[in-house]
Amino acid sequence: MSAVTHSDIALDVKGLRLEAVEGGRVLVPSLDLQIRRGEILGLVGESGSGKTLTCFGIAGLLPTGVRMTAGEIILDGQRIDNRSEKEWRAIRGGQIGMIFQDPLSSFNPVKTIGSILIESARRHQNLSKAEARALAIDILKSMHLPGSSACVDAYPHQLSGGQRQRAMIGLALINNPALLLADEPTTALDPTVQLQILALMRRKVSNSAGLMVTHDIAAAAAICDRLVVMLEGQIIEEGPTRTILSAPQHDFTRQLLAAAPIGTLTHGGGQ
Amino acid sequence: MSLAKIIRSPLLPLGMVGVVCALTMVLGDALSGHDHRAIDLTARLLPPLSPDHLLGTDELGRDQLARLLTGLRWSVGAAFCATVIAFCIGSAFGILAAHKGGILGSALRLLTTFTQSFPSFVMAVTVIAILGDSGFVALTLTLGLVTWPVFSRVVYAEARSLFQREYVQAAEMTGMSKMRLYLHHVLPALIPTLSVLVVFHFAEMIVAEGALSFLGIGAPLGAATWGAMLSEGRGYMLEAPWLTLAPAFAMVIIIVSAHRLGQYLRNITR
Repeated sequence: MSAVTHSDIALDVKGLRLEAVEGGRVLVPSLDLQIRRGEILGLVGESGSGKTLTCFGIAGLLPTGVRMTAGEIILDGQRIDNRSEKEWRAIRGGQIGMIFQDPLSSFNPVKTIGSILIESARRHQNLSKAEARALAIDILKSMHLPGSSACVDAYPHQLSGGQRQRAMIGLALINNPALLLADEPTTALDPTVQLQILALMRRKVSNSAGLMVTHDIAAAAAICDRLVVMLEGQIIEEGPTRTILSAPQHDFTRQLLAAAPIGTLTHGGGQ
Repeated sequence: MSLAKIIRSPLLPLGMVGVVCALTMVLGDALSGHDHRAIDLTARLLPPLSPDHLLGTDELGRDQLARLLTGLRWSVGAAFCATVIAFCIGSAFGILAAHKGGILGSALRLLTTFTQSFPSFVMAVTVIAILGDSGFVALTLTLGLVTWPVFSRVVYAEARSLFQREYVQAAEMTGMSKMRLYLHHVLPALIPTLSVLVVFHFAEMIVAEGALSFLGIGAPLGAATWGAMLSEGRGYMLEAPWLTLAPAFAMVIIIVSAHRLGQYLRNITR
């Protein structure tokens, strides 16, 4: 690949520092990340390594009791971390879409799938109810959800886990975000569905950038172009997926690789 | 629904009480055919079932039924308004404290604990004494303002766990405003709990209003409320027991109905 020009970079995180409000414990001391357009970056590490916090920090949705004390988050060449809450609301769901771990608990059980999608679409695009509904059906169709027009009026419990996660990806992508965040998108799914969902994500991220947070290095290896390994809030290893799989430099990365189920470590990434 | 099903429904007696209450509150004196304020010293302390006075008359010859029905207007109206005030303040504070955390959250929780640490009845008596003016507005405001912590506590505890739910985070992640998030994703999930709480609170407010009026600091002097009727009838307990029995029974019916409704709601929402 040629030299990275500025406009190639979709997300640029510089010196991100996250601290606990009480006691001032440092959770992530200083973190740098760059994701190019069309690229999926895998953020892997064990539970408590700060990878999920980083992901939520990028979306400006840190849990109560955690705050960002230093660093910059630059999305599409514009700094977003110092925005007001109102501007953030336009970014969330608009420029940044997010996929959550458990698609069952990520949809309000008393609302239809469609109503959630329609609401998000109308919030960020100037659409009438009917147009938004048509868009919701379209996007569910493009997620290869069988019977998309029926799914729009379905409640979350009426869909299977895989269908729900497809709808979730549809929700994240309905406003054509520049960045797709995925927090453990396949952990709650069974293995065959995992592969389908990963393949779908890979296809859909082609014109935006993706950040996939996972402890499952096999899932990350399947679709990520580059991997970043985190341990206790710090990046310990970073590089193209192929390089990390074949020649891990750090002990912890070797342990992660050894823990992956045999035969699952194949790189099916973009190149 | 078939007729047999309606008759067996546990809600039938409750519905009847509700309809009677609503009718009475709308019709008022027209229902008994007497002005509840009309004094007739020639017809003092008539027993129930006297001609023209179904429930008898009090020591000033006022029609007992008319006063009882006017009292219903007072008691139910005051209890309802007080419950609405307590509900609005309590649930708003509860949701805010659960979501905001930080200084605002701590301050709201402290305020809740502070308010709750006073016996609410004693506090109501004090507030009304300070206001000096007893009337409908003062009474309902006071009752609402001293009893909201119940709602605040319950809403806080439930909303705390709701905000941890992924679907609330996912909704926030679509760029939804806080107000919309509260109204569309958090409050609806609280309805089962809150509906039960509201009904029980209403029953409690009926008792509280009666007690304050009994002490003469709730309703203004001369107003026909159940508490005041109990208080006035006390002096004639032996000669005219119906003066105390009638308002007492009326209160019991309303409170038991509210409790039954609360239990019913709790059972169907569980």
